[in-house]
Amino acid sequence: MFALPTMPVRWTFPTAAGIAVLWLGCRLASLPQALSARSGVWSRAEIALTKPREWRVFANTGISPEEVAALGVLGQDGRLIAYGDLGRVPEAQRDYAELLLDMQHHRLRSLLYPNPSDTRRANSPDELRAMVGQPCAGEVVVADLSQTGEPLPVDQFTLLHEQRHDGILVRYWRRSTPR
Amino acid sequence: MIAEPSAIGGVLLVALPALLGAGALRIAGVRFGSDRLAFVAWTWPAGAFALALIELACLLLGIAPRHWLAVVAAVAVAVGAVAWRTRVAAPDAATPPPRKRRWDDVGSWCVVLLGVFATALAALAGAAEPCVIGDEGTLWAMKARAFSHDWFAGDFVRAQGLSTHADYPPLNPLLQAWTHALAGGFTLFANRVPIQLCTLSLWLATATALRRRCPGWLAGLLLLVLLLDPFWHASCLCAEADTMVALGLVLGCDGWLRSRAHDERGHRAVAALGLAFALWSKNEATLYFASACIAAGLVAIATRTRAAAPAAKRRWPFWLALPLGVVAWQWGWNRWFHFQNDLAGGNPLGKSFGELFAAQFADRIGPVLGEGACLLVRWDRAHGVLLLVLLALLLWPRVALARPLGIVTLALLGAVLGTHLVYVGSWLELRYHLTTSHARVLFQLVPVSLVWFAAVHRGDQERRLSSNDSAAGGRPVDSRSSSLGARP
Repeated sequence: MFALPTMPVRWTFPTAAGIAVLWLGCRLASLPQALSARSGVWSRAEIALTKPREWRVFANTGISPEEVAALGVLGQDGRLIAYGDLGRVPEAQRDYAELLLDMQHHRLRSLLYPNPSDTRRANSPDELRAMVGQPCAGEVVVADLSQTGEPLPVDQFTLLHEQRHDGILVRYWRRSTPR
Repeated sequence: MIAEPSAIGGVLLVALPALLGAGALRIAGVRFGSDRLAFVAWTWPAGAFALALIELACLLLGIAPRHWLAVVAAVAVAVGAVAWRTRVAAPDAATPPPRKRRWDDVGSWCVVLLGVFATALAALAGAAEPCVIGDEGTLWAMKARAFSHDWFAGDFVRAQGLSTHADYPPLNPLLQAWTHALAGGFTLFANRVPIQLCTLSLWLATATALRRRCPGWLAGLLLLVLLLDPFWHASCLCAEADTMVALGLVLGCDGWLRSRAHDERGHRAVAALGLAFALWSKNEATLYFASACIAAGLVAIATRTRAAAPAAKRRWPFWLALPLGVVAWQWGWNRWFHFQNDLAGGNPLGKSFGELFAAQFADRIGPVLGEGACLLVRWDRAHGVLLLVLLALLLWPRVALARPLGIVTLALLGAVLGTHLVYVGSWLELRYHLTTSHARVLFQLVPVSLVWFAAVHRGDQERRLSSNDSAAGGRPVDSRSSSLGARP
């Protein structure tokens, strides 16, 4: 079709075989490592077959059925804010803390949606105040992951539920006078 | 609102789309007897695509998810009845008879079964974790909830606006929404099943495409290359759309090459289904499709002075109406809802891809190509097959550029290069963007590249045979009529 230089095409077959064998040889050499990395697949399959849904959710998200029940106060028109004061986290751990906060936000959102459909993440007291201050027709609940044990830096919130899992303390605050 | 389908619901989750798919394939003219493994591999994507179309129609008609089961069941029964009465055309004379079993077939079947087992086991292991984080949880699963709930609550646009990629095509979320309809609530585990079945179909579709063009032992080796890639294992665990794109590309390439070899209506339908499936799964497929169109144009220009093709191959490709329809529909959908792609300007910088590409080209082209080169020579990845695509013009120009394989070769070349250029014009920080997506996105092209490589091998064999025939005084074989889709 194109006037390009012709090279011996008879090498296609040995080339394919050679590359595949070489590749597989390298892969098989590291097979013990690869298998150990995937060894969890059996135990995970066993968990999937034997453990109930609530157990698997709690084991992977750290969110217990009691927490989900407590957050039942939130309706579709409510708002859930995952809060952590990242400014008070040591610099070296801040990225990890932000990742944890973000993951917890998404886990809560996935488990609760659409009650509420409005979920947010606040990384500082100022962001939290701004989010709390915005109009909301329903309840506002703050999932406090700041780990300080101090009261929430906004007024009118009372403790709804407290949960500790794998050393992480999560306190849920509910606005005592819904607007 | 959290629920999982009952045992009966689980059976219906798979059985109804499978019935739809098998019926649609038969109506389209695909014969079960001509390639049983291929028919099995193509059944799920055909059914999944039909299911998504039905769900979309239900959404547009305002039919709530609790009624979807009845609608889908009624359509499946109707399609099954029509398929039952459809008389499938007899195989034409050019279709080769099934080949006899050989020792290396046993080896390749062992690899196929090993892959089925490994894929199913990994999919089962995925059910140990709920689908709540990562792209599968925050993007795809939440888009599915938008179809199941927000659409009917009048909150669809706002909810999609909270998504990072509101413009992404809806095939994956629509398939997940099917599990919501069967469970009567949002699923955390079962929503992965329709997507994981696409991964299993990808395995079978690649296997049948390779076995059709390679000796069994070589097909087995190439399949092992795919199976041992860490991305294969990762994609079995989750509900992301990358393997759906890969599945569509394999179907498109395999179906088209088969249709060129034997001019069967059913194979053109499979090619159309594959391209449409990929285009409706993720935006990268649009780039690949554009690359294929450009490649087809280049080949048409390069061969316009040659003798006219046989009448059967000069027809206007009406089968392209389905993929083109998907492109048009998705464009209209995003325009209607004001969804904009982040690379096309819908990003916090507010700059278009072209502006960013021009501004960042000098800084980014080197690191991007460097990342690509490193990936293609890594031994722990299967991406090395893409290196063969890049080298094909030098190594096997006569075979790789012969019609019809030349279009696939050039399309893959354009896809690999185009994917890298996207990173040059991306608004995201380069290292972050490369780390989170580069290898994963290029893995979409690995299975179809393996099929392409097998076709190159097949073309090489045919070319040698024709050379031998010429040397012996026989008539040379026209490369246009080569049987790249045929069994060796």
